[in-house]
Amino acid sequence: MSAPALVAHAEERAARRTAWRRLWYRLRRNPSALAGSAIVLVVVALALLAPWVATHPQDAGNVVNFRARHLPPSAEHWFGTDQVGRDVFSRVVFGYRISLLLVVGVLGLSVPFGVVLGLLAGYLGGWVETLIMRVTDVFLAIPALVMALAITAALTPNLTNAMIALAVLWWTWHTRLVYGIVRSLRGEEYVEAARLLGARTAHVIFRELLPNCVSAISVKVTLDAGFVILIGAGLSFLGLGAQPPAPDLGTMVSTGSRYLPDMWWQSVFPGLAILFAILGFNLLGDGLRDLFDVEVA
Amino acid sequence: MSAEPLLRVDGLTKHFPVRGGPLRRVVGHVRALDGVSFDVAPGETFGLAGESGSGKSTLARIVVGLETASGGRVRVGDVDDVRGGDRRAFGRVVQMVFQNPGSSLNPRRSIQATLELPLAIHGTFQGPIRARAAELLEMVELPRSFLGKHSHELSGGQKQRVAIARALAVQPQLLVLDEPTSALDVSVQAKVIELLQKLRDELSLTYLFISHDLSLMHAFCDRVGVLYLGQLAELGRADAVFRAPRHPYTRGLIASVPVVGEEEVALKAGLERITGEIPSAANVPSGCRFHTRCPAAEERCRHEDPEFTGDPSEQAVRCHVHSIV
Repeated sequence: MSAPALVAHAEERAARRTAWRRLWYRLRRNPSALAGSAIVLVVVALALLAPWVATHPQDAGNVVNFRARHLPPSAEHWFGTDQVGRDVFSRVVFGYRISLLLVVGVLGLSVPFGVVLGLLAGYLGGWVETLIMRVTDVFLAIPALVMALAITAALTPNLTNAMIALAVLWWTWHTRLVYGIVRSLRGEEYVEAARLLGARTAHVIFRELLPNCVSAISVKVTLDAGFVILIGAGLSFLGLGAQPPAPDLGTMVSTGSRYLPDMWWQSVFPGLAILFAILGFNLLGDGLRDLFDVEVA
Repeated sequence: MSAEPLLRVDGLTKHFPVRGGPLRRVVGHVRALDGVSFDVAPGETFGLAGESGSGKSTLARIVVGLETASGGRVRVGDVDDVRGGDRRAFGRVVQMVFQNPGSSLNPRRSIQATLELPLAIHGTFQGPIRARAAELLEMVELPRSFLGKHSHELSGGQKQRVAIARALAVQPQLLVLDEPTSALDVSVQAKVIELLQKLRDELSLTYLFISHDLSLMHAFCDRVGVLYLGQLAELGRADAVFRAPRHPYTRGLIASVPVVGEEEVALKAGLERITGEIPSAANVPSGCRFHTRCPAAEERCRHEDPEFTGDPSEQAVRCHVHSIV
């Protein structure tokens, strides 16, 4: 590399470093983002490291140990044991795996789909816009939980079908969000300049417009994660999500509630675990919203 | 004009439909442009002046192909109609520099990405694209270290320089400048204008310069046209039009120039100002469009639309009272 090029390269690196430092500075001054990211990190770490964190990893599966059933919280069983003697703490830790799997599945399917539709509708306009946005309106009118109930009831109730049921409706929110942003950016001069230079529609959509939607999308995705966990737990509480003996938080609350109030730990701890995860994602989402200074409905 | 014009605007008309009522029926038209004709020769700088609402930005957008005309023809180089033609080949003839430096660069893309886009699309440049992007920056007198920057790190003048470099990346012949300096500080404005003059001489560019700043236009342009409510009121050599404006509208515009130096004082001597607001282009006055504000208006100005008189390469005017015989 020539000398001036090296200088330019070093300056670029320095600029990138400054940008990171600025982000870290603003993050430090934003307690809710900080608390949220800490909680989310803990939840993700627990899920990833479940076999090592869990005190009784074998209890995640179909294990029965009637001698140890209905034990209250103790040093041996932090969150107590359930009706067949399985360690509740270990099952909660593995339960986060299922919750996060649902989040990744639902958002991984629906967000890219919704974002692309929003980009197309917002940029192309005309009949494409009318078609996409009217279909979106129709889907928006259906309550997510009702639709999910219908789909999982029609198909076999299991985790994959719960995922599909939620994804079928979830994309609409992202279509609406991205559509709104693109509509306001469509007339920006850099978009027109790109067109004058002969850029293809795909370039304008994915290289000029999409990068300007990323911060809003990431805020929305973070907030969505909490909702997906909640609705997922709701579905499995009703027996339409992951099936026993899989360690699902909603199922645990549901089964544990049969032994309330005496064996409160069987439902309260999984419930608190759901609360903790949702709180983390919501705090992080709110914090990111302030940090990026974006409007997300 | 002896040489074949690079830009020929012939009877250009643009009507925007106005919809109203519950059925969103067309209830009228905004006549943004109504029969505008002029030629720009290669190497010439043609200035288009007018108040906001006169249609000058619409004209610029039609010339580069961002909007389509309702009537008339625009011929750039040997391309008659952009639609159906080769958008990219057309882009190599004409490019545009926009008004607002704040929105002319993508905030999420680096200056390097911005400048490399046209080079990559057109592939006309042989050799390393990054080196060419650095050259373009040097051409607009910015250091090559700017390649790694993003638009929020640049001042308004620097952004506008990058926008000029981006437009020049495809080596166009005609550059449409839509109020390129109106959003800048006066000191920065002067430097950008100097740069545009230098580039014009070095690259033998042709400019269509759109502005409402008449003193700037006087200094920068070879020929000017004065647009009023979608029609040209006066047209001719910048010097002739500014020294001896004939149309009452041109005279009024020049009279409204804020005075800075003796030059402006001399220009304004004996000119009467115009009052009132520009009428709506949705409801254009009958006869001469300017008669509602004209100090010299006569009876026939209310009914008869005047024709152009004079030689457009020298001075031509569209006025009953001050016609050139």
